[in-house]
Amino acid sequence: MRKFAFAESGEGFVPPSTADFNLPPVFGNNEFTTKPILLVLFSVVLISVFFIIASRKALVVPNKLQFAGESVYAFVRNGIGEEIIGHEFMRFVPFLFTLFTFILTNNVFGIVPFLQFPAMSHVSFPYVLAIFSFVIFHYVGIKKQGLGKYLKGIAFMPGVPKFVYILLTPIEVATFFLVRPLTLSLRLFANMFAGHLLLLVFIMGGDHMLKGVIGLKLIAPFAFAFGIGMTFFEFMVQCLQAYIFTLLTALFIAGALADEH
Amino acid sequence: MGRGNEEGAMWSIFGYLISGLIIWGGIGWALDNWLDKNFFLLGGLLLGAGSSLYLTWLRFGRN
Repeated sequence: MRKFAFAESGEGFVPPSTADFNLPPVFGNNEFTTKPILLVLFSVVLISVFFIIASRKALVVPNKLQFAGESVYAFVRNGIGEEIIGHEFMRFVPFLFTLFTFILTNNVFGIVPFLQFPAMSHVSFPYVLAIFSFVIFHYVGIKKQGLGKYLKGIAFMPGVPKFVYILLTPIEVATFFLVRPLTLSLRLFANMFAGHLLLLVFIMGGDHMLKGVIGLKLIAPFAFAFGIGMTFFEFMVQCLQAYIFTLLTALFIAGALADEH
Repeated sequence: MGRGNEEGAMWSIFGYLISGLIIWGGIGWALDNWLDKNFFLLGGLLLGAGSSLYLTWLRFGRN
């Protein structure tokens, strides 16, 4: 592998780069069995199995597994769904819950030993999720208010002089149709990408120093300690990003449902 | 309203600021290229930033 090339050649430290994100196919030359895709498939199986087992026999006094499952569900339903969307929230809970658990699991894969790769650091995965979110919140708004009224609500802010629309309408339209899905996906992508790169720098740097002269060997433990500290920090970022993605999707849906902005 | 809405407001404002700069800055940049001038980009960016702030005030500061 490229990233350990310096050990044999005895050359300087090769810092991690975007090449470390292009993982080769796992089975033969099949392009559809790269690590991110397998991890995404595995996450789907894992989430399904976990919540099926956790909810299979619902007890009045829940056991640990049921309690864990119900906590996550209650967090999304009450903390995000009910608080943001309001009285119509129940029909969006399945989508929000799927979104949250899917992103959370795939993000946390970034620090699980042996898996150690966040699939969301490949930008196409967040793009697809943002497209789902985009289609759903526009669909909900159009269905609730009708196409004309919905678009009018986006483009024309009530209570401003007419000539100001020349300035404001392009901004509003760009926000709803371009900037929202882009920021939604790019925020998740950039956080996961940068986080993974950061961990690579500390761990690979520590590894490199460990193979160096005695002075470097003494510093290496600090690099590893920082790497471990950053791993905990990453865990926080991974949870936060899953939460923010779901929260913003809920906010967009709530905005589309509201009669006026 | 809870903390979630404040976070949402923050990202909405961020979105407006970005869109304002991109749209009006982009129009300014296009005018610069078309008319071979060099001040439309600056003007567009300022106009975009100003309109975004006005829009933010309309949506979040009015009441």
